[in-house]
Amino acid sequence: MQPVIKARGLSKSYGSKRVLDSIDLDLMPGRILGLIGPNGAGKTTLLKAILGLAPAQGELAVLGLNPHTQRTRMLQEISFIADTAILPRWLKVKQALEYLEGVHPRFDRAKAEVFLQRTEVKAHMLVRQLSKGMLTQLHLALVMAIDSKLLVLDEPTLGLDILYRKQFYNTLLDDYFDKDKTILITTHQVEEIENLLTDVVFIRQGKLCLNTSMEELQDRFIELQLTDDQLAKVAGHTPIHSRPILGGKALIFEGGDRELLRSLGPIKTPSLADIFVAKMHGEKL
Amino acid sequence: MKAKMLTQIKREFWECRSSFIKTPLVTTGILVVLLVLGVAPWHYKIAGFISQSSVSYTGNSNLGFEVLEEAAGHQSITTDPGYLVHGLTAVFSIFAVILLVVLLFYFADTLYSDRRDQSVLFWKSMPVSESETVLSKLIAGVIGAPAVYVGTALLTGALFTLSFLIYAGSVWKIPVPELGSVVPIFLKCALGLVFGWIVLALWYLPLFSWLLFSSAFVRKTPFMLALGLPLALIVAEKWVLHSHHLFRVLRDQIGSGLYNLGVLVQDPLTLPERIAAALSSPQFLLGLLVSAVLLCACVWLRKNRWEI
Repeated sequence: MQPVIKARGLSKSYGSKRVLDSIDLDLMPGRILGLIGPNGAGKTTLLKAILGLAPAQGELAVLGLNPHTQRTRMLQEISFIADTAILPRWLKVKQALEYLEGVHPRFDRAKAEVFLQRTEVKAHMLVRQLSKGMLTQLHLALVMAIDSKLLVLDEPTLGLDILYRKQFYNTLLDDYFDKDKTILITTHQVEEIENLLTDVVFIRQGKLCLNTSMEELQDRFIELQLTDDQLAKVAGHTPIHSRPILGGKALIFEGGDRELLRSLGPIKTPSLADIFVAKMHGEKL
Repeated sequence: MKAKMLTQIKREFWECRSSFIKTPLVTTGILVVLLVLGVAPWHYKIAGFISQSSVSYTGNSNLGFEVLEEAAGHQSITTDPGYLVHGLTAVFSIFAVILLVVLLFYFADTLYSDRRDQSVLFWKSMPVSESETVLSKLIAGVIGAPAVYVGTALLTGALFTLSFLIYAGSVWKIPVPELGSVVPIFLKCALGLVFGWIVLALWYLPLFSWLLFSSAFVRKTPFMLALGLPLALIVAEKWVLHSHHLFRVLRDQIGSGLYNLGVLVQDPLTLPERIAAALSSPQFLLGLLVSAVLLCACVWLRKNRWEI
């Protein structure tokens, strides 16, 4: 099966600053990948390269196409919502529908209208009259009505309240996602997408420091919780991160011996957010 | 492909609704109101004054006023179709001048506005190539908007003609031109307006392309580049080489467009002659080449420097 995204040695520099450093990535069809990293880690640059918005060195194929030189053809099968891809304020909702119907061969206007009927967004409204939440609903309605193979979401719920954020992801899973579709999401709100993802990639200073499926993640990372007086037991076992908890510490191990750690104290699978913090700050221990 | 281009052009009209649709309609409204208020006869007097003084204004400064007085006395309002032509030319000129101003602002802004309001990424998420984007904006400006302006100008011209006939016949009680002679005059002027715009647009293509390039190039304030660079080059040429070649070239290019518009509005049948004259002009041909280079540069900039 051909990967939706295939990158080999993908690199990009702005002057002397290397923002992408030999990235290797395979994203298979029917997966939901979370691309997670701190500010300035290279997430947006990687997305721009994937969407053909900025060239990068190395090998990159999206749906078997070169994103930079075959962008128009590629965009017939890709849709994206970026926090920075703002809908123009002068546009009316019905004009947005008419525009997509006119330029996008895979856009189903009726589908978008059905989705919008469930919201407060009305056809005659101008984009500038919509709240941030309504705007996201409109944008989501537009991209969900595109029968694309890859959906790229760059901080799609930034600035939304918790109700809109939950609704956004529920709609995405219930009304859009199926085995033929692939989703790539970047967000800072790791905990909200944790249950959504099938794969996760951590990016730090332009390099991928984690690239795995969620199943493997659960096997690979173990959190051991010890009281302060039990800490001496782990001498010789090096956690990648520790954080204080009530009366002791939670230690995160990568690739540790599960049975051995269980013999030392209670273990559990750490949350994605904790693993993220561990991988980002681990070396500072 | 065709549907996509039409949608792209429609998009330009949605964005520029005020300048492409409302402005010519408001202009029509204002001119119609002025007609109703009786300004039309005044225009006619002036038209008569201009037409006669332009041939007889040879140093006798009182002659023009005599002609005006004569016109005011209704003696010069005859069935002479020249009066109608002058009137229609005046109406059409108003629309042409407004259109030119609108287009200068449109072209200087259109490839910058989506970067300014940050909607560029939304447009770039659509399967539309940069060549299609630039071409659609050029077509919207050179053909789309002028079509609306020509339509409203003709509507205004028709109302103007009608009001003159009614006014002259009922108020002044003078013999008015028969419909059979008015319609051909009107159609001739209308054709002249269309042909005049086509030739003007061809002469102005380098100007429009330069403005488009400026709007695609700058980080902000496209007019700073659009006006600033030519002015700086003109001044530099004068200081360094003590010559005015660039100024002359620009003046001739802009002047030729307006000259052709003026000639063709009054006599559209000279179109083949005007086009032949343009095609035999090295400056015109060089202008087309410059336009092509600038438009290609716009496409390149949209593709490679969208984030600035």
